[in-house]
Amino acid sequence: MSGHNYFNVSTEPLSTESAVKFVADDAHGAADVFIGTVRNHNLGKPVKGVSYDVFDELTLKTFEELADESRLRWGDKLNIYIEHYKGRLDIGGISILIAVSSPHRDESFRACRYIIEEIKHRSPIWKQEHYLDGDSEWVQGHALCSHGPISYDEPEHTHC
Amino acid sequence: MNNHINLSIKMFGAFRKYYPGTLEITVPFGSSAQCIKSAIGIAIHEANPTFCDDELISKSALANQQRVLNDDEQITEHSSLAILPPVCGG
Repeated sequence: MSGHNYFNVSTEPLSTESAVKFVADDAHGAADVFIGTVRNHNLGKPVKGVSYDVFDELTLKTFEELADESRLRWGDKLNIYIEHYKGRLDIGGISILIAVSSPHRDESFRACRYIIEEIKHRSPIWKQEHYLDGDSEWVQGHALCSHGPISYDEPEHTHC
Repeated sequence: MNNHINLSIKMFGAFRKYYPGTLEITVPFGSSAQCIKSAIGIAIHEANPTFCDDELISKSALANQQRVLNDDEQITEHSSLAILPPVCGG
């Protein structure tokens, strides 16, 4: 039997407890959780908050595609939870939650990493940083293209 | 026969500061996504002369609610589309 999915774009605070609970499975020995949070600086500028803009319909389509691709790579038993915040967050606020569970740990680690790296390149989500000096800027990102997986091949380091 | 189509274009990310809301444009029937992006750039500039960012237009993609469109894809009916600047979720 195939694993199950939860995809959402939320204007309410994201809950790690909900994510872990959703992917929990008696037949799975591992659950991996990625928590993206707002940090207090970017490119040397002190940041006080970030606003997230999301094209909900297409973002949810990309979450679905990423879950399908993850199961093709790491098995159809994966349980997958992907939720992104929409709106303004202060420092430390949770912008994205990804949880993946699997029978063994390697699959959930890899799938979780794959999903976050692909979201950064493929999901129509934007962030506007608000700086301590009162200025705000939309963050430079990755140009979208019309084809599928493009980015992830076990990168050593990414910073964005 | 009307050889033009009407498009509603949703704005996201960096475009919102130049044109909040939905942009309405009329383009020739069969216009490519690439041509429509150019028309969007011109329409935003007409509405807000501070907008003159050709690089933002060229790096952006046109999409419907299901998928991102190829630049050479032709639009042949009245549609609701979105202009998507480079993304940075997570």
